[in-house]
Amino acid sequence: MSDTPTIAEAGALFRARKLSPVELLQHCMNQIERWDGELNSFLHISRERALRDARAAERRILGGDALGPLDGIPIAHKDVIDTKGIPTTGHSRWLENNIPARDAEVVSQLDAAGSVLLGKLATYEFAMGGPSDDLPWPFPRNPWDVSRFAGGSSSGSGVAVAAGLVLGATGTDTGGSVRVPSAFCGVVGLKPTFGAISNAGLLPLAYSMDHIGPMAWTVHDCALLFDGMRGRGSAPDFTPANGDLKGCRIGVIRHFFEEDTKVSPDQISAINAAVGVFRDLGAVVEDVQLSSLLEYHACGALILCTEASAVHHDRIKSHPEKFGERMRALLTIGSLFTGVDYVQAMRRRNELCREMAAMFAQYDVLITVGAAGEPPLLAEVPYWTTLSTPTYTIPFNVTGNPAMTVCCGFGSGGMPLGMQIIGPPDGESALFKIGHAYEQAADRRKRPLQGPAI
Amino acid sequence: MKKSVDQTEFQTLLDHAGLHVLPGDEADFRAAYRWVEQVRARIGKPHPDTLPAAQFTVTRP
Repeated sequence: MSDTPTIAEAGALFRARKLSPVELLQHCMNQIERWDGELNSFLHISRERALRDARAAERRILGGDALGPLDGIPIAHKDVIDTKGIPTTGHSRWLENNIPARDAEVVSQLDAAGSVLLGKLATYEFAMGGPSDDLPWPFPRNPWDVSRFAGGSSSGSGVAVAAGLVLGATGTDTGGSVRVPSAFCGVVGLKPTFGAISNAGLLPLAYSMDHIGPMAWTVHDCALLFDGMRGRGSAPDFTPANGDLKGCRIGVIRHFFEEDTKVSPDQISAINAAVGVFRDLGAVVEDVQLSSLLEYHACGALILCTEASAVHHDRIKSHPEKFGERMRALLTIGSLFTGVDYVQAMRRRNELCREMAAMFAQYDVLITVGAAGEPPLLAEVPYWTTLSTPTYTIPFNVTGNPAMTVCCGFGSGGMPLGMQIIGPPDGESALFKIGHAYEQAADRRKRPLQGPAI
Repeated sequence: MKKSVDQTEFQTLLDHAGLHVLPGDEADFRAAYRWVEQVRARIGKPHPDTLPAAQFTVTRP
């Protein structure tokens, strides 16, 4: 093993007694020590807790009492998810000294599955602000090229997984915050069906659009984490019945990225190549038509900004200076929408939900791009990034459908490109099957930063 | 569509929301207010039969 293993590989090595959870934890600690001074993905490393967790997992595995596929696996949580006794800051000056008294539900579930809690990961301020240099902690850097944007707001999670500092991470996704950093960092990220994973213990951003989801190196690992986050503890269904996709119907939302808001030629080529892979696997692939991406974005952005402004209303009124500049700007703008605006947006949302639901009478899954192309240089990230640039991800926060980003190749600059696979409500297993089949058929990728042999 | 709001109009909007803007931020906010108007216009008026997707349910004893 010359690199950080996947969750599935680590489990196999544990069972074969070729690797122990303590050895794997030490490998991750070495990776953090070696790379994170430059990457800035961790806000807090819980060394003692992680060592305690790893030793307990080691005893269980050696005693033949392993809890399941996540037992002994080092993971970390985005720092908007409460962890008992471990700082949870929301990457904000407001919560700089906040230490929760209890774990979020998703933390409890992953703890019960035997995972090793390695620490807390950087984000945008309260998962919204943007890459800011006026907060108490720096923002993460893309491990494929540290001068480029890592996406957000689960940027720490995407960076840490891609660089092999952890084997899996939690992220949160209100407009694309799991899927965009997954696309930019070349990892797999799932925004589950709205409500599939409990938000209890999550610092809220927008109540009706917040989703907690897993981020990992492979689709299989993502499925294992999703199962653990739901407390199922069983082997998830992620393998296509016959290893192919015969009989599978896939719709391509092409107008989102070729007409509504155009992406780079590299990104279009990567999607077309993926369509070829799906057809080779036996799937029927057709273009589909929905409302414009701009309509989905307007609806989602209004609801997101208004709900976020409600969450932080007392704070922005009393001490706006305690926020970073980007978050302060977004909350102020969000406060200018009226009650009438919000009701009209929720009515429009209902129409868009019906339109999306009708798609799944004809198709098993839909696909579209994960982002506009390769990640931009940090100096070129727009100031009003959330407002001025429609994301290809927010439509599925508006409708609540599950959506997963997988790496679909690399651009001419050598940076990752992402593809989203979208399913019907509670259709995560279809995403895993189709994503896994694609991943097996497509070119394999290596992590950007190679670690020492373990 | 207006390109931005003037200072008095913007201050009225902020007062209505109970907010104040820090020195130096105002020009950016007035420009960004264009975005609020664009979003409103794009959402427009949903079909008259479309009810809000509120999660209200009656709480029974």
